[in-house]
Order: sequence, then C-alpha cells, then structure tokens
Amino acid sequence: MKYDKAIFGIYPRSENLRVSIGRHERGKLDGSIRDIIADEKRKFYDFARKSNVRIAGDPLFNWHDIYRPLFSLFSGLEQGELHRYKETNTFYRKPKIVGTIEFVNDPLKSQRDEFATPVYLPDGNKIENFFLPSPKCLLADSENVKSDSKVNLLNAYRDLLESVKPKTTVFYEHYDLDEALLNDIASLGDSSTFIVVTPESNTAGKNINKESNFKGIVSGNPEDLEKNLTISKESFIPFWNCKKTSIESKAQVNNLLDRIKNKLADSNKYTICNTDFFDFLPRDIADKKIAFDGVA
Amino acid sequence: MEKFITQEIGSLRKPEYLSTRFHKFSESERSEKAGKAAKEMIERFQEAGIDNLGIAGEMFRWEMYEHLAKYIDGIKFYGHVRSFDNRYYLKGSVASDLNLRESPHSEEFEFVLNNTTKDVKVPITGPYTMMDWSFNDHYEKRDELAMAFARAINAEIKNLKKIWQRSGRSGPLQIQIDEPAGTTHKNEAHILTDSVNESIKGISDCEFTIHVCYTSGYPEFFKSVPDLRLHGLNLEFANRDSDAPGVNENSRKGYIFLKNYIEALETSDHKMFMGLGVVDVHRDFIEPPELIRDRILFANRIIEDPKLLRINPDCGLRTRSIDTSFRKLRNMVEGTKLAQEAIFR
Repeated sequence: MKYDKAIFGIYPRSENLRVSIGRHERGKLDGSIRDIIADEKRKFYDFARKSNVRIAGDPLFNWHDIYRPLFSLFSGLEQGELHRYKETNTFYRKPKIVGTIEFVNDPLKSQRDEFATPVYLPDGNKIENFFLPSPKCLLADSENVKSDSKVNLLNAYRDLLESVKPKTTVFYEHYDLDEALLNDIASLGDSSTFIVVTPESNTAGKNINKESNFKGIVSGNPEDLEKNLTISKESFIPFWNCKKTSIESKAQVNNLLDRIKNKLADSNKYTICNTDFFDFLPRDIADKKIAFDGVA
Repeated sequence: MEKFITQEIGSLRKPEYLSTRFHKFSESERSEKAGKAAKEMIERFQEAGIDNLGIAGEMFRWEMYEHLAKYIDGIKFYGHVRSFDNRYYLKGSVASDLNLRESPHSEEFEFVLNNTTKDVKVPITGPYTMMDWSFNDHYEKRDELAMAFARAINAEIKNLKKIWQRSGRSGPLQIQIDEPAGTTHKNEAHILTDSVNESIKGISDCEFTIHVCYTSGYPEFFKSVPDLRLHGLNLEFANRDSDAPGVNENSRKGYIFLKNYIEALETSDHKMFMGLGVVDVHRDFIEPPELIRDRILFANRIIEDPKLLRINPDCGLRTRSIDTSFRKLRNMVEGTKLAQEAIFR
C-alpha cells in the first residue's frame, strides 16, 4: 500500500541555528543570520526530499512561537507577556488586542526582520505551504478580545491569503475542532487548498457531520481519526508522536492502518504526518522519525 | 523583639567567568570556579543581611532539571528543546527504570556548609516537575514516573542528611522541593501530593518546604496543601501585585490568594508557614522597603499569625544582574525590618 509523508508546523532548530540566533541576539554573530536561516532551510528541504516527504511545510525556523510573526502583519495586535503553551513546558507571547485588527504589512514586500515575517523567503522562493495559527486559537489565547475581533481577524486573514496566494495553507488549531471553525476557515478562500491540523481535539467526531472540500483535516485524537478521514479529500494520518522520543515502529503503522483502512478516501493512498509540532522534540529525534521508512 | 526570617529561594546569575565556560571546564576547574562564585555570593548575602542564604545562588548547577537528571540512571539525553523564544533546555528521555547513580548536591552542600555559619536551605527539583519535564518512553503512567523520581529524590535527601549530621550543625536540615510545574495539569494534584510525600518519606529531623511559582492555579493548589506532609510553602506573589503603596485589597491584589490558603487550612491541624514572595524577579524595578513592608503587613492581616510568615523573593533571581538582585534583596531586608517594627512593637 502506498503512503506519503507530510510535515506540518514548527520544526526544531538545529544546534547550529540555535547558537547562531543566540549570537545574533547578543550582537556577536560573525556573518548574516539571514544566510544561516536560508542555509538551514535548504538543508531541511534536502533532508525532507531524501526522506520521501511529499508535503514539507515551511520549518518556520524564524518563528519564535506560533503567533509571533503575526504581530508585524496585522495592526491592532501586539505581543504580550509569556504564557505557558497548554500543559507543556514551552511558552509563547500572548497576543494582545489593542485596536482594530487589519492586514497592513504584506510579508512578501517586507522581509527586513527575519523574525517578524511568517514567510521568510531568502531565496525568493514561491510560497508553497503556508502556515497560520487558526483564528479560533489565536483569539482564545488573546487578551482583550472584543465583539468585533473575530470578524476583523477573519477579514485580515482573508486579505493576507489574497496577498500571499499560497499553494496550500495549513491552519493549526490546538483547541477543539468543530464545524463553526471549519466554516470560518472555509470562508477565507479555496478550502480545497486548506489543511486543518488539530493535535488534541476532543469534539471533532461529535460536531462535524458533513462532507467538506478541505484538502485535509488532521486530528491527533485517535477517536476522531476515523471520522476525519471520511470528510476530507486526502487522508492524513497523524503518526509521528511529537511528545515521545521513541521512534515509531513498522508494527505501529501496520496496526493503525488495519484499523482505518476502510475509511481512507483512496484506499491505496494515505499520508502520515506529525501529531503536533516537531518543535517539542530534540532535532536529532525529529530527523530520525522523519527518516523512518518502515511501512510495508 | 521577634523577627521574621528572610530567606533566598534559588538561583542567582552566575559570574561570567563561570557561566561562559561552565560546560567547557574540566570537573575540577568547574568545582573551583563554582566555589569561588559561591563564596562571593555568600559574602554578598551576608552583607545584605539575609538570614537563610539558601545554597548560595546554585553556583554548582547549570539548570534545575538537567542538574538532577544527569545523576539519574535511566534517563537519556538526545538534545535541547525550546522553552521560549530562542531559549532551550536539555530535556531527558526516560528510557528505563530510574535509579540515583550518585549525589547531585553533596559537593555543593558541603562547600556551602564549610563557608558560612548562616542558615542554609537546599533546593531540590521536585518529582512532579521532573516527571512533567521529561519525555516518558518507559513508564506506563505519569504517576508511576513521578513516583520513580520521588524515590530517587528520597535517596538524595538521605545523602544530604548524612552530610548535615556530620557537620554538627544544630536544628533540622532544610530542604526545599521546587515544583514550578506542580500546578500545570489541573487534574493531577494527587500526583503532586503523592510524589512529594514519597520524596520525604521516612526522613525525620528535616524541615521540608515546597516552592511553586507563576501559576494560575493557587486556589486549586491550596486545596491539596493539607495533604502535603511539609512544614512550609515558599511562593511567588509579588509578580501579580501592584507597585502602589498601601495595605488595602486594591493595592495588594497579588496577595488576596492567601485567603484561599487560609480557607484550605481552616479545618486542618497541620499549620504550615508561608514563605511570602515580596520581590518580583522578572523586573529590574527595585521595590522600595515601604512597598515590601506593606506587602508583609497585608499578608499578616490575612494569615493572622506572624509566626507563620517568612520573607523571600518570588523565585530565584537568575534573570536579573547580580547587582540588581542584591539591591532587591537589601531592600527586602529593610522592608522586613519596617514590617517587624509595625507588627512586633
């Protein structure tokens, strides 16, 4: 049975990149951080290609957390205090709504600050797989949300996507997936180019009852997996556990496949992907998981 | 006149001669430089007038998780993971049964005991936090892993107790169990309680405290406090308080949670002292002594028993410069004296 691989979300920085960014922040880096990020991205894509990854999302090496670059794209949204990301030991800067949220800064035209753009394109590459936090979790994690915040944010996202025109967009939602969220995301453009990723949704199976036109809906919740496979065009199967360092075995894939094979959109094709950001793992372990090639 | 005990909580910033080469030194070089730094910190603590100087700013430790984990068999290290921004920590992966290989804190403890006659307190990263900050590739359940860490910590406290007894010092050995992750999972208070209790099981003649900080879960945490077999809590409050002077609820909003603490202990005979965080470790703002006094006076109104209060910073001051840290600590001592005059006069 044929399978593909996909990688979504923030990928761990290499030791070299981590140290280089630290030196850059202290003004002690010899050379350009832009060149180093560009080189690291090239290496990442080379590695992904060699590992037979069909969809390699931007590794987001310039993202300090899942909201940071948005502060420079939208007016009315500022960087707040550090907050714990769910129940992990990883922290993000809480978005703070300070006015009307509007798309004001085209990331393709402004590449001045490597750490303030969601699409850092050092080689002038075209955007293939664009990444955005879902509007639902962004608002849920923000301070000072007003009654018009959601409408304004959706409009800002729509304008952003219209400007960037990515081939595929991954929306990352770390709370529950539900039909209202999918409707909101579908309203942002051509949903056949959208993939929605939810690591730990608790409600997908209960709340989503119709066919959709999404390219993919990925849920890390095993109970929701079968349901989601039936309502998107392609079958993405969360497989690489980003909270454990053990490397997945051939037997684990085969067991998973036995359970869900009747639900696949195309019974001869499916794509394995990560359950959450690889950034929760050390880089070496993430690389080993990706290189895994144990499926029969 | 009666007085409040002032105490340090944890780590201070290391001098550059230690921090920049910490991992590059040979073991003997590192011990020598850490000892030099610890002596400098002891001197400054004494100048500042702190009663209990902790373990002299943790100069022998790089980071609270890694320091303990490296001495425990069963943990493998595969690399760093992000804490925030471009800050990373070495996160261990539990691959087999845990077993304390050798003592992580003995060298530091003996050094500090040999270099001061002041009271000391040894912070040890707690079992719940060790569990929560590790990858678990071995134990079936989180509580099993926490209890395995607890047994390793129990062995370490027994090591430290032998050193304490050999030193001939009077009074109990003071151990602070650090649990910054202790309240991060709402439904796991029982794991925190059971594993902390297991860490100290069967060890007498010690004074055990727990340090928790930067949580939104104080009310929930306080509910489990009566079940903890500890003598005190050292907690963060100043970070959530205002800088305005005064002893009313509006000015002292950071300390209102103490009411939940009192409610939780209302029906318990087990009284624990409260180490009150009065200095914010996340800002360079130097709290004036009068502000610190007001924080203590407000807390005392709620606690209603000054014998149950000790005074400390919110947390370790390692994110501040050494000079800023000691300016804050000097004011903490001055503010405490002002509060003593008002309460014990």
